[in-house]
Amino acid sequence: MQPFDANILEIEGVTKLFHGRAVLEDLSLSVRRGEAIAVLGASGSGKSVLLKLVIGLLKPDAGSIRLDGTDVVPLADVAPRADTLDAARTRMSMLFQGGALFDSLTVGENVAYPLRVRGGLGEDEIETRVRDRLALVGLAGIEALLPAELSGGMRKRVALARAIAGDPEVILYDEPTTGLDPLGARRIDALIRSLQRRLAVTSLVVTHDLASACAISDRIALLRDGRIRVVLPTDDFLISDLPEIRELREAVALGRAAAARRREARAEDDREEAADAC
Amino acid sequence: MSRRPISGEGVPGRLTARTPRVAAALDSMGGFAALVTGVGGRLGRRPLELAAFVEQLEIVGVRSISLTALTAMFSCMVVAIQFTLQMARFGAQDYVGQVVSVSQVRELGPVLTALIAGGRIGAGITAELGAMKVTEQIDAIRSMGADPVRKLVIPRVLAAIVALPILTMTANIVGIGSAMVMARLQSGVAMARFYHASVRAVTMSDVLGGLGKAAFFGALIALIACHQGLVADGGTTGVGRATTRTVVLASLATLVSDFAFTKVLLLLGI
Repeated sequence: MQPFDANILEIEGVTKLFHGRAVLEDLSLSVRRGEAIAVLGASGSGKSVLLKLVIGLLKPDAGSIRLDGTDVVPLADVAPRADTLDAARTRMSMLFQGGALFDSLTVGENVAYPLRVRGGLGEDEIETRVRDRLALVGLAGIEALLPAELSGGMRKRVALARAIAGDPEVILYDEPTTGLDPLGARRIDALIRSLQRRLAVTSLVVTHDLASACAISDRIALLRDGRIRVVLPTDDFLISDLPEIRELREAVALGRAAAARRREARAEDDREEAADAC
Repeated sequence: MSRRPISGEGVPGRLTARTPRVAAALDSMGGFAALVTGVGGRLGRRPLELAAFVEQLEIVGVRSISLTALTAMFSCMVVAIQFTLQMARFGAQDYVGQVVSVSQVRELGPVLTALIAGGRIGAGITAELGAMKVTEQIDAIRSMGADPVRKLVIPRVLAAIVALPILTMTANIVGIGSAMVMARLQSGVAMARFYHASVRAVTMSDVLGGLGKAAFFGALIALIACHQGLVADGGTTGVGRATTRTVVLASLATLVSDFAFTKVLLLLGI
């Protein structure tokens, strides 16, 4: 693996307009290899748009998005290069806000989907991988169920199993705790943190949930008015006196709870690491 | 850093800002044309989504048979009643088989099947793809490097192209058979006479022309339905709006293209 501080993803001067209005304007953000970074912003601030730009579902009106130095933005322009965009997408995966599980497929078929699209694996290997990934998210043995038979939290976890099925290097999380009860949200936070450590992936999480951002991330970026205002290590973010951050903490009144959640998450990490070491 | 020009500015941007409805219509037509060329470019290329095609054939074809048969039965019986009554005034009721069969095979069969079964098929496709769109399932397919046109659109379009002629053929057989019975009951036209008049009047080019039209209507309906589904937005309300638009657009497109077809076939002497 390359050193921790090498940037795997570089977003530079990205602007995205919808109906002539800039949702993101000259946004820049660097994501280091192996880190978990949370982009914190209010609803409608363009967080999901940012992720869709990174994975090539939307095309920016200006700027560049480089994955390991390769600009993925112009790849969709020319048909023969679409394969290159697909190649970039095989290195990234995305956990969608509502899970985006395919309703007509079983849980097993959903998790196997990216593996079948990519090809190269036999049915036995796919089956083993699906079983393994479902076990990793704590849902072993539910391959035959349909998404409609699952609770909201289970759907998110199945979607997470699908996101990690193809061994991506970068996982993009779109509001991973939205729509879950507080306990379910904490379980997802812990799961994301645990996967981050076990699979040594890079995580880019967009959320409006400060507590969740604190539990998951190594660094937090604040998105406001279409721009990244500040990027700070999570510990520094929690105690920062910058007016925007203070205002945010006061507005959501979650600072203390978030710190507690962060301590809990770290303690859980330590416990898991100790258990793994045994 | 590479800067790209910001779209939405300049003269085209100002024009579309002033006439948003025109811009939306042009945008939609452009999107439809892109989908049609996308489907055309991918047809026949491997891998074929054979399992999805067979599944769609069952959904759009097999499950539409009873609806198609009932539509053909009642519409042809009404035509038979009207024609036997009118033609009996001139003592020409023996020719009712000829009139009913030719009109069914050339026009009523393909058009009514496209309107009734096509409405059902188109609404189903738009509702399904629209729901997938608003729940980000289409984005999920693309994010995994798969192609929604290949995975979703092509199996549905091919299934509709195959299913509509088969449904039309079914409608022709059921419809003409029902008309034969009705002409016998209504005005005592012998079934053998009806049958022979039909066989004499209907040519192979009538049948093939009708089935060709049905295949074209199938492609048109499925493409409109897929496009509306793929551009649906605004949650469940948006899916409802898209489904309504599909039924309206597919019906209008069927009637307008049928008129164009009829004129062209007449000019070609078919």
